[in-house]
Amino acid sequence: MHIKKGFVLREVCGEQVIMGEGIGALDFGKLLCLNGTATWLWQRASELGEFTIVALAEALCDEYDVALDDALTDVMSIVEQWKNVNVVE
Amino acid sequence: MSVAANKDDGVVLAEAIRLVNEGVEVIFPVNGRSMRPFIEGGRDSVLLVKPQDVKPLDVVLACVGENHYVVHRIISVDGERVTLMGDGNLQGREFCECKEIYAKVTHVVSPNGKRHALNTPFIHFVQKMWVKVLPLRKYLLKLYRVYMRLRNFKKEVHDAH
Repeated sequence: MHIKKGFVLREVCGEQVIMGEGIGALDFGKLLCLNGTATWLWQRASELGEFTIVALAEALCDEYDVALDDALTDVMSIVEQWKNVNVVE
Repeated sequence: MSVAANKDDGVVLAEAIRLVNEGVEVIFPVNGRSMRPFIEGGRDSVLLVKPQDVKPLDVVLACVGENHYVVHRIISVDGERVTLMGDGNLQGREFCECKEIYAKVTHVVSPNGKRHALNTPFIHFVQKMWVKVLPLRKYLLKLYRVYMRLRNFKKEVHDAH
């Protein structure tokens, strides 16, 4: 899995949001706001290029004091949101 | 046609204007009925670009009062003074200066993402006629409302089956 080309993290009005850039206009009707954990995961996923849910969960465990099962649940939920808005493939 | 209904919307709009000013194309949702029949508020969005060479008949995003932003059509430009009017309005006009025009609308974007250009010769002709037939607008808008009701009713019946 990887982040689709053209989608970037941007700060809009103090919030971290995913926007499409270089793929046409920025659509303010379809912004995806990210919380702190989701922002951190997006940055890791960007660095990794190709990523898996397990790889992101393990990275989350390395960074924060969190059990692997909890990390997997969180990552699955966040990646599911990304899939729903079509920003990963 | 309103683009910032509350304070938070105003903050988001300010960000959109900043991006447009940087040369970024922005799609922004709009509310209200004042640009009927060409833009349906609550359903359509508009594609905003940096305004250059704005002229009568252009649809623009302008500030017409303190934090009061509208997406309306330019009726006339007299020096720096610009007169605007919503296509769905019968009388009301707004005024602003050229520097208070923050973006030009080039396309109307449907909920399915399809873009409808406003600068094609046909659309330009239709819009020009719409402005010219102002005395008949009241009746044409009534017909449009009936058409929209029938369309929505047909859709509801279709969805129910």
